[in-house]
Amino acid sequence: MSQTTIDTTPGIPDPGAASRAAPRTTSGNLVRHPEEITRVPDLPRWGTERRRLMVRFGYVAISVALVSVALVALGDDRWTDAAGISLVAPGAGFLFDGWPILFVLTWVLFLLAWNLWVGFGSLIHLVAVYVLSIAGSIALADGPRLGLESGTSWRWAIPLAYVGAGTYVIKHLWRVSRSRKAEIATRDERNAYLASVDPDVVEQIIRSFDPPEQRASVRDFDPVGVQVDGDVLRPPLPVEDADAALVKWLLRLSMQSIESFEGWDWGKDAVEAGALRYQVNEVGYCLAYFQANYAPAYPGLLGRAQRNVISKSQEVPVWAYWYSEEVMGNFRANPDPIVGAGFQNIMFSGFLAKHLAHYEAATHDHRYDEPGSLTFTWDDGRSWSYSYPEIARHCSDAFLSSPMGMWPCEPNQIYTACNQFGAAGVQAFGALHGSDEWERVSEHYRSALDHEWMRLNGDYHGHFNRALGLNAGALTWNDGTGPMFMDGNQVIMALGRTTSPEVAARLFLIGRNAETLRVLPVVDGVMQLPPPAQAEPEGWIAKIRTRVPTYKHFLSGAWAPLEKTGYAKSNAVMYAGIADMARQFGHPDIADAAVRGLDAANFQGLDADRPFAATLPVNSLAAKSRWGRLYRADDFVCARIPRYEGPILESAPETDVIVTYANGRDDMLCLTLEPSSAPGEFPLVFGRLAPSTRYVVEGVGSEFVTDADGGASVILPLTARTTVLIRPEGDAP
Amino acid sequence: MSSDTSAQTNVERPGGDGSRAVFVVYGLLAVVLVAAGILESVQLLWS
Repeated sequence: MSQTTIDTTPGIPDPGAASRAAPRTTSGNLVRHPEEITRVPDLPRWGTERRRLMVRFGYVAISVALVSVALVALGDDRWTDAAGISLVAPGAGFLFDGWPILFVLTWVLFLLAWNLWVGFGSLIHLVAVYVLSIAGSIALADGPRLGLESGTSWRWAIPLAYVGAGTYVIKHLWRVSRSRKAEIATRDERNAYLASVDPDVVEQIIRSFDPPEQRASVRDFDPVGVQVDGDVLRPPLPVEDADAALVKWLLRLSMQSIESFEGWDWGKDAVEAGALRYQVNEVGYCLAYFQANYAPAYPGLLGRAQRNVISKSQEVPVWAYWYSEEVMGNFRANPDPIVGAGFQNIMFSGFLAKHLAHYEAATHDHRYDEPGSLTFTWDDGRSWSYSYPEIARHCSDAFLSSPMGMWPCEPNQIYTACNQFGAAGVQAFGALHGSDEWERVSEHYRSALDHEWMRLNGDYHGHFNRALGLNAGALTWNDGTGPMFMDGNQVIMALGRTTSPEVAARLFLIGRNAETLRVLPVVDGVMQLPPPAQAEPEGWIAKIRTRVPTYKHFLSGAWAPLEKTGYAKSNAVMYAGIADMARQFGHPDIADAAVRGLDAANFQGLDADRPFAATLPVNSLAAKSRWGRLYRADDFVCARIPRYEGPILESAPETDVIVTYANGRDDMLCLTLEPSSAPGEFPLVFGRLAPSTRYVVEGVGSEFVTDADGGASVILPLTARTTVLIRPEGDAP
Repeated sequence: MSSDTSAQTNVERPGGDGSRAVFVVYGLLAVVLVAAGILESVQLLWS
């Protein structure tokens, strides 16, 4: 979208409210089948769809092998021999032709193409290398030789290619066969362990799926319950320097001009974090978390910040990648990242659905339900407009139509991680709008999750190719024989709590997380994790190293290991990850200890360019894990965040004052504010206070009187972080 | 969700879970390839 000005709309219009169904808030515990938490189900090794795809691909491979044998056995020419073995082993025809250097070159290119195929769905490179190796070997069959006599043929290459290809297949059949017994043994061990878990531990996990009103942290929370510390007031939720720094950083990212991505992971130092499509969503989630938990009474600025980020998601640099993937993976040229992508590109449409859900859940603003509210304009002027309902319906249709239960990110490449976001986005839409987008697909999704994606041992795959039914990572079938660099366990545990709560809880237990959280080192309420195993050397050599993947990562589609980020190694992601997991699974004390440990070990200070020296997603995880004290991911997805109706801070000097807490009730308002740079006196405007009432500002000792509409303006002196309680003292004089 | 109880009695038996077709097809592929390799080797040695 070519919008270049930031959103300054103060109000929250909701023209569709009359026609929209009431939210279908999930009022009960999300766990419906507790018995499934403590047992890995006994299911066939491969689901119906996977078996069908694997067998189909097997027939294709046999057909190619038979064509190859026919060419070699029945042809009387060199070119038929060269073409025949090139069909079963890329580049083998060059070996037959006496061109070993071209054989090596073919495999170098083949591995590069493999990387692009698995990582970006780019089939064109793989096809090009394969076809060119066949065509080249035919062309050179009777051509010149390098260092060899013209007409030389290395006939031994033929049996070598056949036996090599056959051995590759046998090796994997043997490994798949052998791994079956080991996986069943692991499953039995896991079931024995799950049966032995203390019922109180299981119950605690189940309770973490309770709705907010049943959680003590929400039920007992008083939004104006300030703590008095001498003459100083403390806000009802903890506010540390890192909180202020995170708010400042998020507003810097979101309130810049829409087309700008200054300060985002978008430049020469970004490694594997350069995908803006993920970053815009993460910033949106964080702002929604902050508004829902810490600052529901400051909707003006936070609403605009979130809308600006949603506008950024419509900028070409965020979604332009799809055009090249569409061309190279699907051989089509349609830039439209939503419907034009077919049932692919969940990494954009599905993620955006979840992003919009966070916005609607935090603000209760439904402007994106309006037709044409989201527009994607390509460089040549073509544009595609959608609404949130259209995007959610598209994603819902994609889940419903996919025999594997999940659908692709890159062309034909299905990733479990991306589908967790997309599924949550669809589920959240249904919950927020009282519609059936998730209900119509949930049973299919849950069934496919176990039948198609679960291994015999209870682990979940992280990736499959939709056309092959195989995980193509690392040049193996990856059925317990050579795992790809990522599996599905972690992402389902962390992101699938609402779509598959029993599975998420089971994976939490299988990962022995309940025990691990209990033994983490906490001293005086501060977690103390060890520093990174080895400090990364600085300088240009280190920068190059961060861009060199391991062999396994390379074949699994990544250019660099995902843990390498361009930033020096730190334990920030460990602290943030532990805090997030502990917060989600009902261990707030451990989450708080991890947050304190994160701050003590990694906080860079209020004036740093970002709070923690790590990627944007790590900073985002840190924000969510510390702010999700009242409402967390489950509540955004299940429409369990109540609309805020209390007094509000309508405006404050946005760049001069950082507001880190704003909440209220019953005509009272609690604020925590600080000057962003220099002390001073700052004008604040309030709304929805009791009309024509005398108010006192506890914490600074001033007074004011509201107008007949409940509005008021005050000048507040600020030298440092200050918490004030604005409460009515009596009728206006 | 998940529990397909009809499969539980079969899953303990190799191939009983429907994986036999996969092994048969890919086994056939391996046979074709290896047989072709052996035949070509023999032909190469005798020629």
